[in-house]
Amino acid sequence: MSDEKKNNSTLTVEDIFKDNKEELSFTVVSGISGMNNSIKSKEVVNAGLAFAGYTEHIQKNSIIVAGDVELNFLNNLNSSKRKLFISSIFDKGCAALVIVTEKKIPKIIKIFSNKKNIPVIKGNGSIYSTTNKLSLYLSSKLAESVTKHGTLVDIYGVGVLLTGKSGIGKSECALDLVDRGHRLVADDAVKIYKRGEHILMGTGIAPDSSIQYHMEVRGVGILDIAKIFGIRGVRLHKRIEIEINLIEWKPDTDIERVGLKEETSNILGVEIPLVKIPLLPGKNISVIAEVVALNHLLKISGYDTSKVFNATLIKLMQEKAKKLARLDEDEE
Amino acid sequence: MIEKELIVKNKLGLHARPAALLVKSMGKFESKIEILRDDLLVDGKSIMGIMMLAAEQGAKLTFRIDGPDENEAMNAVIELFEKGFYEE
Repeated sequence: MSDEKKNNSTLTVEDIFKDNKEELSFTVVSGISGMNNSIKSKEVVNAGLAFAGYTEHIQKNSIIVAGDVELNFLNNLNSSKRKLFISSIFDKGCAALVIVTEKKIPKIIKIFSNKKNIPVIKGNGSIYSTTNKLSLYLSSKLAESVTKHGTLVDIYGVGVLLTGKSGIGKSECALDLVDRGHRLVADDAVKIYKRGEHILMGTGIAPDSSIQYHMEVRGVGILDIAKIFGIRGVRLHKRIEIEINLIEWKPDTDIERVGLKEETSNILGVEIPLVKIPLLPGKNISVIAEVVALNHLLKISGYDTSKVFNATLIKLMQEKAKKLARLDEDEE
Repeated sequence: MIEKELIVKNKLGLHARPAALLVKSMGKFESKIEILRDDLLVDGKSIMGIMMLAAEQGAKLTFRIDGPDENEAMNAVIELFEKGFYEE
């Protein structure tokens, strides 16, 4: 689609170090020349058997974590084996090796780290929490994301993505929604990323919160929504649960009339319900957006109005048909 | 103005799907379309109105169409009824 742009974020060892050095008390021990190594794998690999010469699980461009167990094991090896195993780890081309320990890092590791330009970062604390934190960090930083032309509003707790041609009234609709007590997440461009496999999250694209939540309304100019409506009118990010596509009304547009047929929109491989709303002069889109959100809540709570209504109607008609048939047979 | 009585042929009657087909088809015509059943009268372009008739299989509906394209509209209605709204 033309209104989408895929983001290919790159992450270097330097980024990981800077963003986590305080929390995980990181220090760079060796291999400084490799701080620009890029990380391409979301997985944080536990070194484990790699220190015993088995390196199948060591992926290229990934972060390897080791701790006291690995260092103690290394200490019990003779120097030739130690050299062999350490060199085979660094030969695998990992991005960086994080060692969580209170001890000093063995010289042999520093030598190979410098030779292969792979940084060794020392951390304090527990290896478990370090691995966990790095995992979370990598999965959020390397998450697939896409920027979509649209406006994201939290309506009664449902993240509604308004899409449609430029000038069709997405921003005006969002403005009306915020005025009615709902919250704006992003206007004009929404950065969408995946959390886990099935959850889409949306946020603004502004590099800083000071310029986030601004909106252009044609004829008025730039508005600061957070200043006008206060903190209750905005929120930082929101799960996207439904897309409302605003379209121009034409006599021949095919519009869903009962809601039995459900369309979906595919964003980053995740399907979310898609509702197409044709625009006519004088139509109040905000109210429609609100009921779309409420009806969605009703549906996920297990009540699908269109289906229930139709089932009831069919049952009613069949009972009536039966009664009539009986009356026909009853002629005496 | 033209008028014609039609019988619902499909098994499930005029439920949501056939009603949607009918209003979508009727929406294309300029003429005023009214549907009568006994003492009920509804707008042929309103889906809720049509469904409230609860017209089961065998129900008799009278279509009253008035306007510049009344003949085309009536032909479209007749076709939908004859085909049983493309249902059993």
